[in-house]
Amino acid sequence: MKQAATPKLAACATLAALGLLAALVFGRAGLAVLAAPFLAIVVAGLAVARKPSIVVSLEAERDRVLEGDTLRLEIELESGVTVEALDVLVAVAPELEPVGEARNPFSTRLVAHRPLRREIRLRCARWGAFRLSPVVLRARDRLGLFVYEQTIQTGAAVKVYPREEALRALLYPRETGVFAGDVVSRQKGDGLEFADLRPFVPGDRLRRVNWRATAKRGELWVAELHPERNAEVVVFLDTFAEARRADGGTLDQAVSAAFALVRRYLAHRDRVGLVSFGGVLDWVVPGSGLLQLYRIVDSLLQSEVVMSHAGGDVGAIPARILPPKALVVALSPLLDERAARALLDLRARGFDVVVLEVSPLPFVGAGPAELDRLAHRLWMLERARLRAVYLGAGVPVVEWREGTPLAAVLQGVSEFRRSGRHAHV
Amino acid sequence: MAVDRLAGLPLVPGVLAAAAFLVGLAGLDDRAPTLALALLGAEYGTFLHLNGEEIGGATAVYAAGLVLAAELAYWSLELRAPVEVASSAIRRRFASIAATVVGAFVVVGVVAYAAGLRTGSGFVLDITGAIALTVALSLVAQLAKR
Repeated sequence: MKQAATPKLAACATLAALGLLAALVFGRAGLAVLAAPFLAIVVAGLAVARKPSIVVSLEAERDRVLEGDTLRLEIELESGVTVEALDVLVAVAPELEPVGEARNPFSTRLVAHRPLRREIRLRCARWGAFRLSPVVLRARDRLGLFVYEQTIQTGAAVKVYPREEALRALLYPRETGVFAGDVVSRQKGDGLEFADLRPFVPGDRLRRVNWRATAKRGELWVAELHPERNAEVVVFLDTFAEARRADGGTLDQAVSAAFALVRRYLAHRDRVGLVSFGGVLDWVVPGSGLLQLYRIVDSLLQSEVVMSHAGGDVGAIPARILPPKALVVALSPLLDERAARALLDLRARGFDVVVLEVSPLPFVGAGPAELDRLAHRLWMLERARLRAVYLGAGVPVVEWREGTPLAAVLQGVSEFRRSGRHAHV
Repeated sequence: MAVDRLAGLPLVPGVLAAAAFLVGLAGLDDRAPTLALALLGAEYGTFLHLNGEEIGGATAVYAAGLVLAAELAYWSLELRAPVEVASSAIRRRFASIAATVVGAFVVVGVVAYAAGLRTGSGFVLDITGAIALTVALSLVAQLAKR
């Protein structure tokens, strides 16, 4: 531990020196008498001071929790010498708020060779990946003349997953993939869903003969079926800008939605990829399975808005990230022109794009002045214009306001896609 | 007559000491308590000088009072840290302060008694004082190195 003298030690030593010096200069023994206890404190303090060696272990109850959950940390401290006063701080991110009776930081007394265990409860207020480190220790000796400080890095970390939105139905691309899945394909082949009837041709299996149609027409007819295939979906997370207040923001909503969508798609054996499009471009190549879920969630937890004047070119996204038949589900507050332009660019390249507009309006109010209100109205008009541009390009845009279930938003997109299916591309 | 006119002189460092304590406790400057204690020492020195030096029980009480003031002042500085302190820790701290004050009283008593053995100045006392001063200064220097 790093040792440092406290102001008290400096004061006692200074007072003792001054008193003795004054006693000598002025020839007054009374001043030496006054200085004597301060000198005695310094000498006693130097004599009893022992540098403590404290061993710390920190364990989190779980390494994965959901947003809003309470995480229990157990910290164990052990020292070779008795520490009269020990301040302990587990320097966690502000998103992990201490709750309960045990505080962080806390002060305690540590008896030599007697391990001390304390419990700290943290409420995980926001999603993200957080290190439960460092642990900062500050010990004082018996007379308070020395302070010993140490910063210990622990390996403990926790991943806080966003609360999952309840979803009933998902959005699917117009073209399905080639692997088996849960989505009824438009193609004809082996499956369960009836598609059409056609005359028998050599090579058709007998089990596909539709006997009712055969009896009516007097020749063999077979039923054609739609196969069940998987889908390829790319979640496009706009991280150029966000609107937020202390307890949340558009990025929080977007990440929460992305988490729910990815989980549901992967549960349906679909192939899912992720593009975090912002100041820092990040992606996860489409894939399926549990491992893919972990990959995407890890990437989502690292999502943050990074200020940048560069970026915005979808050409920077590798081609393998965006399969041609994939549905691109964009989660964007439509605050940054670069992201808005990129989505139109994707649409122009033939991708099936839907935009879930994470509305920034609950986070951005109009100012009190008349000019502020006018500026707010102009901004709203500009947003409406942008939505019209998207709709004109055949990209459904549905506004998602804070408090509205994501399922309702997806329903809105589905309705648009049903009505506008043949209108474009 | 001159002594009567100067009877209020010890009040000057006393008032300055009170002001320095206020500055220190308000958190404006951490060095202020040290200055306040030095001023209180100066106040008592002035008082002794004006009234003729008489080291006795009052000196021991005054010195113990100075130590108590120092302990409480520096404790208040420590309490500024936003750390939850258990009531048992507060009790232990009170006991520690009480022990320090009693210890200071005893030390002052012993030193006062030793000083009373040989009143006035003399070569041996001067040498002893010089050695004590050298030790104290070397301690300060050592601590400054840390």
